[in-house]
Amino acid sequence: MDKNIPLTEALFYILLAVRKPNHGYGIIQEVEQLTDGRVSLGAGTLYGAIQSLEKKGWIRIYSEDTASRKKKEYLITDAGKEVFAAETKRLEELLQNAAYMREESTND
Amino acid sequence: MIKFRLYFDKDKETEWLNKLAKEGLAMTGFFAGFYTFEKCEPGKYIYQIDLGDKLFAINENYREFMEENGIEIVQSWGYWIILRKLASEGEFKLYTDVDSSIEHYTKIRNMFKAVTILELICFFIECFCAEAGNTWAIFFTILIGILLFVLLKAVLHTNEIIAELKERKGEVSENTENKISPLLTAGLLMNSAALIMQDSISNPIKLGVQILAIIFMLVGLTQCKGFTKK
Repeated sequence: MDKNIPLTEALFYILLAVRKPNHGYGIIQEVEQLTDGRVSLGAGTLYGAIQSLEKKGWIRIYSEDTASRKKKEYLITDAGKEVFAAETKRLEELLQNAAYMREESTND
Repeated sequence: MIKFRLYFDKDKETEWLNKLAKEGLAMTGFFAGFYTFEKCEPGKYIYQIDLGDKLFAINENYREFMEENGIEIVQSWGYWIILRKLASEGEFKLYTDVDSSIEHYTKIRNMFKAVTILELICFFIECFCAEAGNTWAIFFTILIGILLFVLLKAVLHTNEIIAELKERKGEVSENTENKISPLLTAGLLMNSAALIMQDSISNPIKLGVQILAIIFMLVGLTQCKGFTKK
């Protein structure tokens, strides 16, 4: 699992966006909202990411109903949640350590 | 309306399609270099070009995904897929981060590499047939020779794009020679000249020139580090 960390920003936000069932367009919109438009996922980027996350078993297809042409929805798996938690821990450590920089500048 | 173009650079091709779309011509089909266009409201569509996983076929998941996102698959050709989206629905970009862009261009580079190697094999077969005096083979040898040159340039150009992207990620790219060796060009020209003039020069001379040409080409190819590196 370790070799996948750090997650790319795109993967991190996609995992976050599928904490509840979500479809492709919904993921794009949610990530845009969360980042105030800074991260806008292109269709190719998102498609590739979903394929690879599915292959790794970090997300799964939640619902698929071709008859009613309802959009395919994805949901994070337990393995995905584990990876997300590990990544969050890493990011927290990063932020904690970033505090040293602030201390340094106030001491000056 | 039909326009003929040969593109070996998908970014330039995309630019061209978008420029025409802005002027009111929407691309609707492609066949072997022939693009068909229909009149449209100027700026109605935005075009993008992707590289798929299947030859002359589109992955069902891919098709479904794009359709769900309001993207229309206009045409697939070889591994290439031409897509468009209504401009009124906002920006249309395929690859928006460095990692996925690197992946995309690496796929393109590897496809060009595979085709180059295939053409190289064809080239030697045609050379051999041309040797036997087949006039068509002479024509094809020269044509494939030019194509080889163009393909090799496409590989090197794509390498440059990948190196630039990797630099943005903070990776230091090794300085590779990204120009086509003059030896390769010289070899191709010598071989063509020998084949065209084969009736007016004696056989041993022709054979000598061709062997030299082939040596030049092979050495020239190995000098293109951008081609041999992974």
